[in-house]
Amino acid sequence: MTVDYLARRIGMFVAVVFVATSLNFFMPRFTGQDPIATRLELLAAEGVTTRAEDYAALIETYNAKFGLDKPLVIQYLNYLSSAVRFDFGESITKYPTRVGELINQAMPWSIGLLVTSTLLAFVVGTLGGAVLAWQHGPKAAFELILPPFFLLAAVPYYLLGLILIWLLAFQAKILPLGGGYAPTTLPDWSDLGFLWEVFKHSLLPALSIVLASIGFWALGMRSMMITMQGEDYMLQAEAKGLTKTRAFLRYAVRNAVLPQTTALALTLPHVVSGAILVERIFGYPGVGRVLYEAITGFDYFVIQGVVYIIVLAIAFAMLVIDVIYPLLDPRISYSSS
Amino acid sequence: MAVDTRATGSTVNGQSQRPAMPSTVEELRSWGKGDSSLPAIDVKNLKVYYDSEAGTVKAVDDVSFTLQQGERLALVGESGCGKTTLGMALMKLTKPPGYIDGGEILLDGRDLVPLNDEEMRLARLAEIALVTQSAMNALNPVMRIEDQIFDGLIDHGIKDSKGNLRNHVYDLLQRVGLRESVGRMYPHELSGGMKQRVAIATGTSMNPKVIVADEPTSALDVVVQRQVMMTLSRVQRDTGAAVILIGHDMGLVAQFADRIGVMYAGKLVDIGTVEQIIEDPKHPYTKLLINSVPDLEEKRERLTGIPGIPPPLVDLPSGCVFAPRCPSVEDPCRVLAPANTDVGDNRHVMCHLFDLYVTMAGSEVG
Repeated sequence: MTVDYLARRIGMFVAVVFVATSLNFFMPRFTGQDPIATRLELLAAEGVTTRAEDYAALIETYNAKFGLDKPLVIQYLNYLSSAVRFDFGESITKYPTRVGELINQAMPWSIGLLVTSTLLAFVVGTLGGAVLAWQHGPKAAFELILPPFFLLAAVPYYLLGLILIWLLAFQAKILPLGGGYAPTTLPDWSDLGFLWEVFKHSLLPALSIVLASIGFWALGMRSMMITMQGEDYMLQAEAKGLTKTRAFLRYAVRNAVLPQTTALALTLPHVVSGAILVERIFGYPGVGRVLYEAITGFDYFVIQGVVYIIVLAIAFAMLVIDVIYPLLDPRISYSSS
Repeated sequence: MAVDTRATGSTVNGQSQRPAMPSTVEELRSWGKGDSSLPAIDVKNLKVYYDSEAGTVKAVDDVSFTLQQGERLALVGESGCGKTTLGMALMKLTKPPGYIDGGEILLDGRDLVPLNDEEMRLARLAEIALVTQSAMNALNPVMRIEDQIFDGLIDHGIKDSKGNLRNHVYDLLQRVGLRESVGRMYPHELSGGMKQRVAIATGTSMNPKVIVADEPTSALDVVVQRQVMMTLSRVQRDTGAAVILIGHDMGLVAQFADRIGVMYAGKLVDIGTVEQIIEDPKHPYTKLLINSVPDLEEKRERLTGIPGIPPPLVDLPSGCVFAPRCPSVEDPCRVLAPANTDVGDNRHVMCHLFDLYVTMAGSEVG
């Protein structure tokens, strides 16, 4: 039953999100670091001095303010309820900015960059790999173009990012060094000039993700296509006198793309975490940078908020793939056994 | 314009225009039904070789045979004798490093060997169709059965309403003993026997002149094997197509075929009607093959196998390929290859016991 299948998948989704968010609550607290002390050290570094007797009172006030004086269980329950309400309170390091506000500002940047570049790499890589393995296709061109991408697939995003910055921004000065837009401009999304600037700034980080992952998708697809060509139904497709295009698309690619889809689902978390480093390197104003700054400032609430959103996003993507997979492959049925 | 490319086939034997290919289901019904006096398929000196490190593998060497319209020929022989290679070559589906080194495949008078890829693509299914060895995996797992049959029709220029196409597929399915609802099913929902029936339905979807059935029952259990053979038999009668049945089960093919061709080491060594081959095997290899089949009615002391193994195809004996295993071997057999000899009644044998050389030598001695 489809309803039954959906119910089980959604149940799984909830369970995954629950476990991940719980880990997300306990992990920072088990490190033994104190976010309030970190915050005060930060203030001290900025030259704000406090008298010794005030210091204890300050810590107490802060702890009370952020609810960190309550027993762990109560904190955990508060945290769970805040997760359900999508309200993670105020940032410790950037008080009084609310966590939600930080995330809302950063989210469109990340989604725009990550979704576009990941899907672009997936589509280009998969098609390229398919053509490369297809004995009737325009192989020669692809045989020249694709191998460098296989090499790049072995290079991590962030390393490639650094190389690109050095080459294109630092040496050639074609593209900006980093950031989402030039520090001197005021964001105005209705201005075409600003949009162009955003596009130019996103090119390098996008390029580092795309370049590093095209080879991965192309290699996977190529090997699947080679396996498919040994299948009897490919011989049968030829014996049926099908056109090469139809045999290629509807018989070979159609089957080879199934494991690719699974791989996409499985690498999604990898893509997200890898992109965090990319954002950091490029000073890109996305969720990755927010998370990075929260971790260095030991900002419980921001970490919790960001990780929760990432967990939700990945779990949701998995759910979507689980739901559409039976549509792609009739052998996977919605029924239980 | 599509019609133009399809209609201009090469003209052979002074034949004028080939009939235009059908473009509707209605036209498809009469397609291939024209009464032709030419043989359905006439294979002349066909050679299929493979280049390998060790040398040239002569997988099919100088094979000739003729199949009349609606005739059923079974090709038998042990594994590696070249029967599947021959079947694939008839469809021009030989894959590198294999290639057709020479010969002619006259299908209804037109030689398939010089055809280009596109002409051959159109000939497949429409004029010569394949029912494969392992129908289990011969279906695309992610497509409905009817869509897989539609594909072949559409790519051969059948432009008809979805309803007409679907009705045609239903007719095909019913003819092979399947319910209409099978059309809407996916391959994994079918049993092995059902898939094999679908393969037969697909192969006959355009009323081809010739069907190459490559071990269509080898993956099935004995009961289903028989049912599938009966289905193939019925469909053959209905469509009037000539069938080349490739198999190794002498008993099974003898029930189906009109004629049997025996292959050994890439050569067609013996070909004749089922009665001729079974009752009066001429070639020593055929004799041994018949003797190795158990007979239910006749009590035989024990079954005889054939001693020895087939020769490696890269390094064939210089004389007769069967000489090293032959019980009736004579000295000339080891040096001179026997020719294909007509021994009367359209019976051909490739053995010195029957060809001119030995007869002459014998008469000289006598």
